[in-house]
Amino acid sequence: MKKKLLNQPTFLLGTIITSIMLLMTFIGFFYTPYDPTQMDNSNKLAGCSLEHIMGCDNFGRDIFSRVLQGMGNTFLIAVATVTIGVVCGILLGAFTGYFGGWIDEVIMRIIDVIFAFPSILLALVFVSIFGTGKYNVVFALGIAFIPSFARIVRSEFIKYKDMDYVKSARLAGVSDLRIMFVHILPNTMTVLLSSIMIGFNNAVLSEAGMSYLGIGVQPPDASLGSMLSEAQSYLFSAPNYAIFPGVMIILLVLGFSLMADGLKSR
Amino acid sequence: MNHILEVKNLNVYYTDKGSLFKKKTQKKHALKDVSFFMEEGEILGLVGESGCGKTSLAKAILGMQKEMEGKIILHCKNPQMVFQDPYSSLNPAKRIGWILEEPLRIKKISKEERQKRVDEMLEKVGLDLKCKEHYPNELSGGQRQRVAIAAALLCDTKFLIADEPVSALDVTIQAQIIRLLLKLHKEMGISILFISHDLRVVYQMCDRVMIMESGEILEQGSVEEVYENPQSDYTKLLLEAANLEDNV
Repeated sequence: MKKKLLNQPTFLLGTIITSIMLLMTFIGFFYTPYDPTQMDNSNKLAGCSLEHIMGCDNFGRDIFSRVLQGMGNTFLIAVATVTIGVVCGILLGAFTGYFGGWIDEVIMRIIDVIFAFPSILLALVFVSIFGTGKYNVVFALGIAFIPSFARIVRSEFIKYKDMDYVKSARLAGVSDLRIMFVHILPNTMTVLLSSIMIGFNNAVLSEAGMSYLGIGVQPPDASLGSMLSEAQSYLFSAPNYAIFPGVMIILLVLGFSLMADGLKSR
Repeated sequence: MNHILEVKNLNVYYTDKGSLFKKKTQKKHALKDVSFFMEEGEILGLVGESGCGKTSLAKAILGMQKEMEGKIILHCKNPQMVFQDPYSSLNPAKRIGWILEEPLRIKKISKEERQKRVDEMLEKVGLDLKCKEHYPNELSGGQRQRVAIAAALLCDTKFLIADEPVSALDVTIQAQIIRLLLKLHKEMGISILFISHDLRVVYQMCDRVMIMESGEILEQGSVEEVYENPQSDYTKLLLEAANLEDNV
């Protein structure tokens, strides 16, 4: 089955796009053609050229360098956010779904309360308590992402916990923890993987929103989201400023979506 | 002969849990004063229509029933069960080899020993060794049921509950699985509680038979006794229905 996966065009395409994006992100950590924060008055809003292949922004900074750096920031924030959400979501969802009872009720009501807050508002509250910055945003968004994953995992566990194969595992003397994480969890993977991809996309967009509000990545550092929101004012005079970060977000999201699609139709 | 299973005055209830707006009132009496025994190494048939409490009884014997009164004495360790639907009794995310090794793995048996015993068991149930690499959805219903039986027997049990193990299979495969169960019964001396609604299958398989209706055991005795000289009206009806099918 593993072999077939790469023969699937959607999965293959997704893998190619994602690996190119990851490679670019990786390079961006060590090398950018220009200093991403260096301003140059003579090149304000310059178009594409051989020196600046994606042009320059309103301060004359090289967009390509900023895109490389911004992808790193965006990617790290999105991955960290989703990781917090998924790990906590799996733990909470698995325990509540498998055991049920009053603990399930209590935890799910708390999660409902978190779910009722818009994630941006939750993050704003968080940031106003702990201050701005990348890591606080990651933490705030991560907590805001827990409920959706917890619910998905919980419903999957409720679906599977009374299946015959779980019963026979119990009869064979398999412990509850092993049943939860070795027997049931792999069955939730297809659903979980696609929601992870969707969560990743949401995280990229939320990060953009946070940066737009000025509480995410702090200027002069770049993130794809913050570049996109800065570019709004120059949409007609310098379309390349908005297009390139936008295309990068699209490719990042598309790569993962295609991979999720391929996994699902396996 | 020693008894492997004794059930005395077993009562099982299902209570309606009630909710915020509903009071706890309803109590369903699923098994009423059920008493029987099983001898070591016999195949006991349990016949009855759906909803009469066959599965409730099986669950009670396996200790999966919460609300029950009465005594169940089982003179053997880890009883196992073969389920009706072979499509839900094997974990779809795992390979057959993994599924079969699992009961041995949690007993911390070494890898070589595990594989040796799995191979032996696959041979016993008449499956190819190659199927270890397959996922359950790549096997047919009959093959799956063989795997389920193998997995149950790998738990070193002497007592097996077979809950309608052939009713989800087509007729030719049914015969194969029944022959397999009979062969394993002979070779390994396991006792089988064979739950079914098909009187003809029970006649082929079982030494003794119990007839059950709405939570009560109407009669029990050797297969010949019950089939040739049924005591209750319900049993007569069942037998008539089975014969009718034959004539059609």
